[in-house]
Amino acid sequence: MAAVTDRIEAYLIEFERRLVRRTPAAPSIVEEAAEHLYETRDELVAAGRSAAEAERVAIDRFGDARTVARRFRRAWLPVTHEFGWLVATAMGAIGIAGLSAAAVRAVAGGTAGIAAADAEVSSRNLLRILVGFVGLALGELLYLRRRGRPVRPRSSIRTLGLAGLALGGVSCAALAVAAATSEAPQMPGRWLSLSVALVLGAHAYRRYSAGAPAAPA
Amino acid sequence: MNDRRDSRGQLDLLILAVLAHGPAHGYRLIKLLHEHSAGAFDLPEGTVYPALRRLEEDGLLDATWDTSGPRRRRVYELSAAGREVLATEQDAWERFSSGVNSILGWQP
Repeated sequence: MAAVTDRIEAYLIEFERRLVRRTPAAPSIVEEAAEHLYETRDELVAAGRSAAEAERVAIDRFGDARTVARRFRRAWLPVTHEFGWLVATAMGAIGIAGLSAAAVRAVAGGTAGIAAADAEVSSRNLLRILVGFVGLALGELLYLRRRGRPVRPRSSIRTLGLAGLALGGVSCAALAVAAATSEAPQMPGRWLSLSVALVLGAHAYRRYSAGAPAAPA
Repeated sequence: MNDRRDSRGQLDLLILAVLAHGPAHGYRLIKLLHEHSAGAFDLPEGTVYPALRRLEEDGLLDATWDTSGPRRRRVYELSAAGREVLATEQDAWERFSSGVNSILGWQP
């Protein structure tokens, strides 16, 4: 058997680091990968390659650590994870639709000066924006889970807080301007909201129907 | 269960089909895939292992550690459920490929 050199060991350390902490049986996965890499190397050395060249080829054939680790992570993600992404994307779409509607109302005006209708539309947009915010929170949780990172309340709150401030700031500005202007009908806002929702919905559908784990090329 | 005619399902089907001929560890399984596909099956070898683990998780494969060599090897074999799925999917694949071949060879 050829001597153990650094290249495969370095690969395995990188591979283990990239394997999700929540991946079940991570040590046995690394052991199996090691067995494969060393067996490939030994076979190539037996066929006349130098040890260094054999290790390089063995790693090339196995695939880069990031890609292989990602496949493992995805192999263990439950179907509900993908469904969660779909829900988060849909909620985000609703939020963006609410923001768009509020922005268009701010530019084009409200519902011809009918105060009650204005208030109803504004509160509906606010509700959409809040739904979008919840979708964002869900998206972050799913992202952290997918990356195998722990959910740290402090960083999550900071991320969500910043996003909330941005969303809240834009929506408040839009609603404030909308309250000040109420001449034009709200139809353009509706169409734009609908378009944004459709585009994002189509994206979510494509993402969902593509299936979670990337198939081998 | 996934539709095994998508590209992920194709890999699952190939793995099940190879293991139908007997237990094998990952390295040996990949070599068999290369050899019996006449080189057509060429993908990063490491990507076969997640599929193996997933199939094991789904109950289609059984795995044991072989400690007879200098390094431990994880040996996979078809479970009873795996054999059933293989038979069903093989049948579906044959019908599918037969339909595609009929259309490709169609002469108006």
